[in-house]
Amino acid sequence: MLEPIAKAPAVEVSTTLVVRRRVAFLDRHPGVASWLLVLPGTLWMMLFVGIPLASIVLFSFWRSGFAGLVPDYNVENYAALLGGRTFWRITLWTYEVVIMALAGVIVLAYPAAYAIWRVVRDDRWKTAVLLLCIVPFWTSYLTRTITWLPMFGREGVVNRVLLALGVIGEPLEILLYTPYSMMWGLWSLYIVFMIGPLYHSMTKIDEDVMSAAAMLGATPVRTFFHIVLPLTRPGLMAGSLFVMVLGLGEFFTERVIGGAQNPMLAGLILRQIDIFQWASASAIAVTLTVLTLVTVSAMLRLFDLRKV
Amino acid sequence: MASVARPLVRPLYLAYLGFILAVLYFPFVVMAILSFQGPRGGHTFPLRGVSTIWYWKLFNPGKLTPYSDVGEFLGDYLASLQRSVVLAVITMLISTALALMAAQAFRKGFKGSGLVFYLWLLGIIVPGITVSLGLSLWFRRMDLPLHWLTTGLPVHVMWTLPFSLIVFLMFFNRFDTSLEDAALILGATRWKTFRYVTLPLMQPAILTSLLFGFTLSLDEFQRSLLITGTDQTLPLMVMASVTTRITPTLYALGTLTTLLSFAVVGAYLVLLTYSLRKSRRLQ
Repeated sequence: MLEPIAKAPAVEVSTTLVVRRRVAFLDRHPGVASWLLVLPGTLWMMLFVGIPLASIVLFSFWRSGFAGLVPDYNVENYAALLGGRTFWRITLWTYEVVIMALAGVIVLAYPAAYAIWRVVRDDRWKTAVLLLCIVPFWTSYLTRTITWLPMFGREGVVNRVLLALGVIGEPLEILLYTPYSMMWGLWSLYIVFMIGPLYHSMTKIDEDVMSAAAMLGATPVRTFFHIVLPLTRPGLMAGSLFVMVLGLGEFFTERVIGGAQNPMLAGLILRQIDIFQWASASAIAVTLTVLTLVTVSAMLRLFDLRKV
Repeated sequence: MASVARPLVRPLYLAYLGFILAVLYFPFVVMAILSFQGPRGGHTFPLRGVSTIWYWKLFNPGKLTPYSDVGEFLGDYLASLQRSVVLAVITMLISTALALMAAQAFRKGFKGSGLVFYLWLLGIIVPGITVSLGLSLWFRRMDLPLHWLTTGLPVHVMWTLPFSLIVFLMFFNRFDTSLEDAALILGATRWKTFRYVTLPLMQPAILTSLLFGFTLSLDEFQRSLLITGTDQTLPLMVMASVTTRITPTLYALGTLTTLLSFAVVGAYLVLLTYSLRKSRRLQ
């Protein structure tokens, strides 16, 4: 049972004195050792998060010329952006979409997580269903978006089924390439971020608390709002963080199944790049990053991600 | 475990779970069926015959057939799949190694650990398109040639590193240190304790980190959108083809890559079960 530890002394004899001294130094200075351990990854992050951020901030004050960016410092990009109505409309729209997406995902995910936790009885079934709810997270986001095309089109599965059932007389036009189809797409894409964390938080709720609530005659609704909701806040926050962050940077769903008519901020950046307005794209990117950081830090104030 | 749900409520909940699973998986099934669309069929129902022509097109890129359409996307998907897999393997290894080291420091705590943690978290938080734009402009300014591996790898690892770190931190949140303490008391150095006690016990977390690294990299498109140059990775190729014209070839590709993802997850689950059993034996 203790085999791995028993091996250790035998190897230690062969350790050279130099190595032992170095290890001893790090043993006495755990702070130095820690810093050496985090340094490589931290440098990587600093470089490849820092450089892009620094460069969009810098280039947002330049000018887009015919051959590329021109170091002609100005605040025109921001003035044009903040002065025009389009930017504000799109910013508002972005938040509308993200908040709707989040609200929908929460409403859809809670009953599912709850069902796995309380309604599915067999432990093996619990694991299986939970896994099925998480596995799509590890498949392709792009593919999952594209799969809605044959479902929702004019000739799509949903329209055909509804026509066959006689629910509608004409194929519905609003099913694809509309904000509605985009929202449905976002819900189905993002729900996998929510069910797992929620279930994880639910399993940490003490069984006695639930029994007490039931014995004292609390209605399911009351139990939910007074016990389950507060005690699953960590999971809810972790999932929400994901939805907010990915939602704010979303452009693919809007382009592919949202009809490419109502871009969000990330989509607006892409459209500016398409017409070679790099400086203006940078200015929008700076604004989007600031908005995202403000939103996330407001959410992180509510809880510490390391305690999940 | 006794269920609190009342008899009538139970079937409702189960039906709802079924609905959620249908939402998650039914579109895949539809896509898989449509990938066998007949040669004259389009990207939606009805099926006009059954054929494997779209798979054939996938494996024979650029070849014109009597069935080729005007404006059909003829890119070499398999070459880009190859690039993506190579990139994903390198990414998962680097990401897991760096996060594993960092996690050792984080669990003991060090000065400024909070700040460093949030810096890592920025990799997830900062919108992907921002990273892509910033790096592409900077690379061009520096005259660095864009290439899927040299300029692609940095952002892939940057994207997966925070996930790997979170996996390890969550693992250590519920880690029992008594075996490590025993090793230290018995005179093992810190390194030996790590090598012979901690590392074997960490196997499940390492596997999970590898899975996240591989799958997230394989699907990464937002950060690498503008910086991979002419030889694109698979997700970027898919993006390009979606914006031109959708054919069932895309469904054939989607079906194959989804099966690949399922295979990877399956392999992970088998290995995880095995390593969990082993680490339970150790404890």
